Amino acid sequence: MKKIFFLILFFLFSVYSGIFFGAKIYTPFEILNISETEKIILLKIRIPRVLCAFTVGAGLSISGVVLQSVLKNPLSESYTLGISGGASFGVAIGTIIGRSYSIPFFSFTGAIFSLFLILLITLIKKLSSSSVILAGISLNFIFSSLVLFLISSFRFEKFYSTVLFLLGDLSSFSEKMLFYSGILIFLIFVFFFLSSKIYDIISFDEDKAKTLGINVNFEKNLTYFLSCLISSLCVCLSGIIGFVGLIVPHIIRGLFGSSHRKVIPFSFLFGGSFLIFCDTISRLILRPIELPIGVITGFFGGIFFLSLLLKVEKIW
Amino acid sequence: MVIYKIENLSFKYDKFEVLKNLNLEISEGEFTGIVGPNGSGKTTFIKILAKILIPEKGRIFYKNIELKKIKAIDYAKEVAYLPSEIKLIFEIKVKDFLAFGRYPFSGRFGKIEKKVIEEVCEKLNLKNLIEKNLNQLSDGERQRVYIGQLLTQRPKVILLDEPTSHLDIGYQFSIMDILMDLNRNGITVISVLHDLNLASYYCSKIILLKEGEIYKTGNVEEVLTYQNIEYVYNTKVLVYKNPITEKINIFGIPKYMLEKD
Repeated sequence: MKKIFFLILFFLFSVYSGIFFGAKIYTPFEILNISETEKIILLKIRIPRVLCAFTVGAGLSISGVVLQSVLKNPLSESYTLGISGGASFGVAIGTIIGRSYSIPFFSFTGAIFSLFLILLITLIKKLSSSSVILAGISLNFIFSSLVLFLISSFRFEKFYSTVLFLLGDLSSFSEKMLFYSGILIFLIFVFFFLSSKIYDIISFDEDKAKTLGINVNFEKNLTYFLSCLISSLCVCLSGIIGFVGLIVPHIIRGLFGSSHRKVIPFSFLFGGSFLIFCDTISRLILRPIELPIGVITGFFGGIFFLSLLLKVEKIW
Repeated sequence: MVIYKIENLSFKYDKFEVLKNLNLEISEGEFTGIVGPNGSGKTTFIKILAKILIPEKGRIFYKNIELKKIKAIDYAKEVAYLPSEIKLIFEIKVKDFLAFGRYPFSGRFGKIEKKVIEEVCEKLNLKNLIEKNLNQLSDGERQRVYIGQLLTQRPKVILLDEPTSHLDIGYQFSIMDILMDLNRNGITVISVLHDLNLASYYCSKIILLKEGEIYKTGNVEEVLTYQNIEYVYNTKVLVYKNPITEKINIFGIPKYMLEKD
C-alpha cells in the first residue's frame, strides 16, 4: 500500500513539476496569480507536453513489459530490439515520399519490418538472449545512420530536427497525433491489462501455456503487433527514446513482483510519470537551454542497462 | 474404458525420425510409466499426448475423439501436463502460479475461482508456501507446487515428464506417493520415468521405448525383465523381486565389475 502511495505521489509531483517547472519555476502560491500570457504558455505548451511525455513513457513501458514476457528476455524493449530504429526509418521514408498523415503508417511498417528481421536472425542463428539485444542495438545504429543519410540527401533543411528526433525530442509533436495516439495506447493498455493472466503463463513456460489452452503463437504475434503499434506511435510523437521500456518494468517488478496484474498498470503509471520527470530535468538542467529528453533517458538508461546486462550474463 | 488410442504414430524433428509407427492403447484409471534410454522418444511422445507437438503421421484418439479435433482449451479442462524442466526467468508467487490451472475455465477475461486453489493447498499442504516466490522453494517443495498447479485444473488425466528428476530419495517417494494417491482417486496418470525402480513400485502399466519404437508394453513383470532391460539399455542388470515390497527391483552392474569377475 505504501509503495502504491509513493507511486501516486511521484506521479503528482512529476505532473506538477512538468507543468510548472521550466524557464521559470512556479511555487504553488504563484500559480493562483499567473498572467494571461503565462496561462496560455501552460495550457498550449506545458500541459500538452506533459500529456505527450506521459503517453510516450506509459506506452514504451507497457510495450517493454509484454515484449520481455513473450520473449522471456528481461533485456527486451522496443529500443533494444531495434523496433524504434525501424520505426524512425519509416518516419524518414514517410517524410521524404509521403504526406504527413501517412507518416504513422510508414513508422509502423518500419517497426514491424525491424522486429521481423530481428526474430528471423534469432531463429536462423539461434542467438542467446544477450546476443539478440546486441543485434537489436546494432539494427538501431544502422537505421539511425540510414535516417541521417536519407534526410541529408533529400531534405537537408530537416537535418537538425532529425538529429533531435533520433535523440528523442518532446518539443515538436502534433496535438492531433497526440490525441489519437493517446486513445490508441490507452486502449492497448486496457487490453494488455485484461490479458495479464496470459502474460503470466507465457512468460513462465510456453509448453505449459499451450497445455492450458492458450494459442501461444497467436498471442505472441498479437503482442508483437500491438507493441510495434505503440512504439511507432511513440516514435512519431517523440523520436527515439531508449531504455524507458527497460528501466520501468524492472523497477516495478522489483517493487511489486512479477504478476502482470500489477506490473502492467503500475508500469503504465510509473512509465508515464518517469518520462514527465526526465523531460522536466532535460528542461531544467541547462536552463534556459533545453536538452533533448533522450540525453537524460539515455544516460540513466545506459547505466541501468549495463548493470542489468552484467547481472543477466551471470544468470545465463 | 480406453482413454487414449494411438494408431501408426510417427514424428520427425527435421529429418530425424524420433517416433516410428507407434500403436498403443491406454486405459482410464491406469498409472502408466513411459520408460526407455535417453533419446528413445519418451519426451516427444508425452508432448504429443499433451498436444504440444503435432504428429505428422498417425492418429490419436482421446475418449474416442481424434485429438486434433479437440480444441486446446477443452482438452485443458481434462488433461494437465507438467514439463520436465522449467527455466524461471521472472519471479512468480506460488499463489499466482497455482491460479494458472484455472485459465481453461476462466479464459482471458473471466474471474479466477479461488476456492479450487484453497482446496488444493489444503490437500497438498501448501498453505505455508503460498506467499513465497517459486524460486525461493527447494526442489522438492517446488515439485509439490507444480503438482498442485496440475490439480487446480481439476484434471481427469495427468501427463508428467520425469517428475522426480533432481529430487532426493525422500522427495522422489513423496511426489510419487502423491501421484499414486491421485491415481487411486480416479485420475489417470501417464508419466515419463527415468528410474525403473520407481516405475516398478508405482506403475500398473509400462511402455518401454527403444529408438522411437515400442519395444514392449504390459504390466511391470512382463516388461521389466532382465532380458528386455539389458537389450534396450545395453547394460547388464540384476532384476529380482524385493521380498519386503514384493515389487521388482533393478540394479545396474557396472562393466568394470563384470570384467573383474
